[in-house]
Amino acid sequence: MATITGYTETAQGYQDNTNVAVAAAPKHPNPPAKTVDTQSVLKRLQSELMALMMSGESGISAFPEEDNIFCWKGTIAGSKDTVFEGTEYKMSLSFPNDYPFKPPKVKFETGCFHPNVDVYGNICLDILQDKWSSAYDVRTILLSIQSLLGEPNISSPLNTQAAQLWSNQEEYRKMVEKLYKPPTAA
Amino acid sequence: MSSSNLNALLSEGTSISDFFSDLNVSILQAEANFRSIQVHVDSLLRVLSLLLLKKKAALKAAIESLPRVTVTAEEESYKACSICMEEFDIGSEAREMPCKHRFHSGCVEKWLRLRGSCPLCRYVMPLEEEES
Repeated sequence: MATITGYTETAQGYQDNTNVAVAAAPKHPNPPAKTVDTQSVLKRLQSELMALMMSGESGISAFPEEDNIFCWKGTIAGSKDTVFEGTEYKMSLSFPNDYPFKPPKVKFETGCFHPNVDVYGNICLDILQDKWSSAYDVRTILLSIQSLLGEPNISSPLNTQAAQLWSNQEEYRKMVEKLYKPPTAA
Repeated sequence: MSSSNLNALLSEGTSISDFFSDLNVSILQAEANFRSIQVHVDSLLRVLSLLLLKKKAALKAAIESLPRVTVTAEEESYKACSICMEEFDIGSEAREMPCKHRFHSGCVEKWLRLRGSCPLCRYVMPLEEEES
């Protein structure tokens, strides 16, 4: 609970800062000037955060980092009845200045043995690349990655070993358990 | 087949002119149905050019010609623009795509200049010749 309150304050704090920036010229040199576009990105990220906290979605979560609303940390829980059941993955989402017109960069921070995830945590998922739509949001992105866990795209793997093992679900589960390192509490 | 149908109709006392006016009505209906299907077939055909020719942006003229509609109070399903996630103000102007999805003018114009498809249903607009 304390964490949630903390993050709310962060978001609120950020909003206050930007309001000040709009009302009066900043006295000290600011990093990249906050354009109208950046303002709309902030607004959209704030409404996403709000909606995500209100939705009470189970199995996924996400919050902005303390000092930067353009960088979020999220979690995805492996779905029931998949080889990932019982595991949890920390994610990082980094939003471009022209979000939602361009997709965020999403990566696994926790190692994930999956056909479409490489050793650096990069994800091969069409909606994060050429199939991106501005109507996607953090919630739908994380839910899509959650379903990708249980339904990998075997034909274009980043991790060929995982792709080959996928057909043997029993062995795959053992591998997931062996390689899984739970994310450390922040 | 058709001549026996015609004979059956005639034997039931339907006049030739009645028969042809009924036929005319159904042709008009079929045309209307066809036109509404045509909108989506056009979109499907453009999907091919999107995939094969790597065209991306919507045609400028097509973006400009999107109808401007006024948001009314009863339109529950169109409460927010799914690009910026801001609610529409009642009485404000929105732009309607051929698939009937509505967005803020600035939002949808910016999106279609990057990718010529509906953010919600991927209806594909006429596309620019070259990738911009």
